[in-house]
Amino acid sequence: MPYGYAGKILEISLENEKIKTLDTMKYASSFIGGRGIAAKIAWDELPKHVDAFDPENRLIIMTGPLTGTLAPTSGRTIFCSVSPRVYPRPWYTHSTMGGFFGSELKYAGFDGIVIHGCAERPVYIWIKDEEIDIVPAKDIWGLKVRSAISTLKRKLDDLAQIICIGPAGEKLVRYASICSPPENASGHSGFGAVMGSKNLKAIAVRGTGGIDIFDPKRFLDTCKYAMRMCHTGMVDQFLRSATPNRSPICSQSCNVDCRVGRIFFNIEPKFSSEKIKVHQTFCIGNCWARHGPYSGYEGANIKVPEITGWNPEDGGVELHRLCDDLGLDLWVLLVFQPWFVRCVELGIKKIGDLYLNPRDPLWFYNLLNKIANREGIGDVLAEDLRRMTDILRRRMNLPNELIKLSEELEFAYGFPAHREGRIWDPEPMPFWVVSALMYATESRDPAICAHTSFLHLANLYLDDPESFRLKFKSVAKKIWGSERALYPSFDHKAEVAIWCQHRHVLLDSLPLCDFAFPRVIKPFKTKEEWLKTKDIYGDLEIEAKLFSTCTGIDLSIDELEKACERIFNLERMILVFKFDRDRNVDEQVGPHFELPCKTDRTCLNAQIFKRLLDEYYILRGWDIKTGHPTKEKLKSLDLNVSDVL
Amino acid sequence: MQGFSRRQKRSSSSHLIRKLIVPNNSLCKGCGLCELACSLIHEGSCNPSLSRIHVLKNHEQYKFQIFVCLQCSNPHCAEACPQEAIKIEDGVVLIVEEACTGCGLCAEACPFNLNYHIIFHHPTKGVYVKCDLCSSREEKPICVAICPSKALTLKEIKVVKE
Repeated sequence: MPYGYAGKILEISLENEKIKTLDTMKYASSFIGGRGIAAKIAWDELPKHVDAFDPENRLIIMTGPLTGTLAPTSGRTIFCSVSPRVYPRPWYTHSTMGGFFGSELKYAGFDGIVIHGCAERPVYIWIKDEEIDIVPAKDIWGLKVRSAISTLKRKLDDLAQIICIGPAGEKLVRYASICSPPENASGHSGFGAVMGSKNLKAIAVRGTGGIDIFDPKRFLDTCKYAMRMCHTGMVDQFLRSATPNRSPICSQSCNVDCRVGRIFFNIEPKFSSEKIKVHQTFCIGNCWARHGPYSGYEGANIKVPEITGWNPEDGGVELHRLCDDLGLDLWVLLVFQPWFVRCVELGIKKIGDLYLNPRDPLWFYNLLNKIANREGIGDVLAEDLRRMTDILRRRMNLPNELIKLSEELEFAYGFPAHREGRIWDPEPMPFWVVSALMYATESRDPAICAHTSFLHLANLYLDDPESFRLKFKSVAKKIWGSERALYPSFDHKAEVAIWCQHRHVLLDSLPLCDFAFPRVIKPFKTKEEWLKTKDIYGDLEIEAKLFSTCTGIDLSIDELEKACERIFNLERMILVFKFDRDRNVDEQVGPHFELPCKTDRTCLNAQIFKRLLDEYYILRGWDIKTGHPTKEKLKSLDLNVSDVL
Repeated sequence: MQGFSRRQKRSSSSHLIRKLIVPNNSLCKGCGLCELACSLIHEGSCNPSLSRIHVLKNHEQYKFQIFVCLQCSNPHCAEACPQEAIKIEDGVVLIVEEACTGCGLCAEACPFNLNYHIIFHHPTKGVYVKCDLCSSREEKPICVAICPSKALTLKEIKVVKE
């Protein structure tokens, strides 16, 4: 068995129940793992213009060489497929989750699963070490996620790790998630609906094998070092208050005090009958179970009302739990609530059969059930905000502002509400400029799965601009090649955006958690420690050290970044060649960044955005007219795909 | 490798030292780092099934139960071993792999060995294995060192001689 990898990727056709395996090592040194290997498989197998719900679409579930090992935060799984959420026409993208499923899959002997075709009747897949069964799912089809999973565990093995879709995935809600309780999900790209379209309810895995490590002693030492470097969580963690001692973790091998997880005991239900004994929330889940608000913003004839969750005991926890159980992406709150609140503010009290009361938890409780089961107006909402707006425009007289607002709340390929300086994160110049370039050129909203790297440094800057400038002077030069990277200007930002993108590809391919890596700065526990330390530079080679001691494939961080560039370009080629992506599509995010940043009121204009994109394309070696990678670039990356251009 | 004494040799003092890992289930978060580090040290591979420490994880209920050898001073496992392959050395109960025939009587005799989480059969070596407190490592046991939640502590207890 190769080191770090299980060595095989399962290929399952649900149409004729044929099962094959691919040799992982064929891809390992060029495409690392996870998102990288998935891109290669997608390039080789996805037909041109394939729809998300077409049986020919692939659902690619991947792990990386570090999944299931001691490497801190490595217990992650990567999902890649054509996403039904992308507007107006689905394209290929990715979504990752933590938990224990990926590790178990590797212990069973597989680095990934590629699923194609559509089962004739609902099924689930049961992988017990090397034994693979495709089993009729009559008894669990229609069940909510938690019940389906406990039924499967009782039937199969209590120690099995399971991914599962809820009613929302079965009914092809475009933002349905793939869930793995208690609180892990691949939510953002609507892959739950892809699973539903394949009549696949769940995948259960039990593995009793292990992952051989190339140099156990050095790997152990590297892991211990990596743990020391990352245990303080995100770069700006020390600015935030500590959480109670027992904040939960969401992933195997996680040692990070990310201060995101919360746990609730014995919550009395408000809307259902079942008492909630234990409930955990992480990250976006906290938006439900906390009385916000996330302040709104205004500009360019749009008003985004503030977003508020609910106190845990007032229904916040119950609503969050319901979302998980129905298999809906938790971001549904952040997209629909402000839109409906604005409707009410503009005098629209009713849409179809639905009276609007979007600040009320019971109203949301009923709405979520309607969406997941596509009942009444829920059938329209299930099509996501952009498509819903299109449908409503045909049915009723919708004010222009609401149409623009839906474009604002839901980009063509993602939710903008993270680290872009408008909706909620304070992201002044120059940080949102990097964000804008990343949003323009990725296949989905980039910042939600890429917290650390550059964008989060904004919080350190805002806390103390003067000492930030001083401390980061040499760091900026070392990492991004120039101090100008951090100047509040439009110069030298494309370099930073490209660096961020490559580091995120690396995290999604190894995989590691973006709350912990890359370690741009040393781990600081307190603000005092941060203020008195002169040399703050962390260590950006940890990932390479973990990779090489684990797999025995000796790649330096530069070589790994080159592999990430290869992966990013291949993903771009998938979008360009199979889904007609070009510069015009990239430019669509421009208007959002023409709204003033809510921290410093800076903004883009169309001309500057064009110039920024020119710089970005030139640096990438892409054609500045079309935004397509050039033949020379692809050749230099050893990508044998240029014949299609 | 024959004739292992079931008991540690009597020293001149009137006490024996017993070393053990004391788990605190209420601090555990179920990350599994202890299992992965243990199997990495003992097997060169990350494999929870071969870890000498086991954590039963119920993330849904947020309940975790840690199983690891208590290094009893009068171990039932050693009493049960027909080969006398289990000895106590420096306060640690050790299975000598060369002497183990894989009969499994030790695993049956241990009163704490629920579902073979503490003493279990090693499928490739054909012997029974259990926690040896990382006797080959100079530092303290790796699981104790690596646990980020401080759910594991190494304790030394003085045991009065019989």
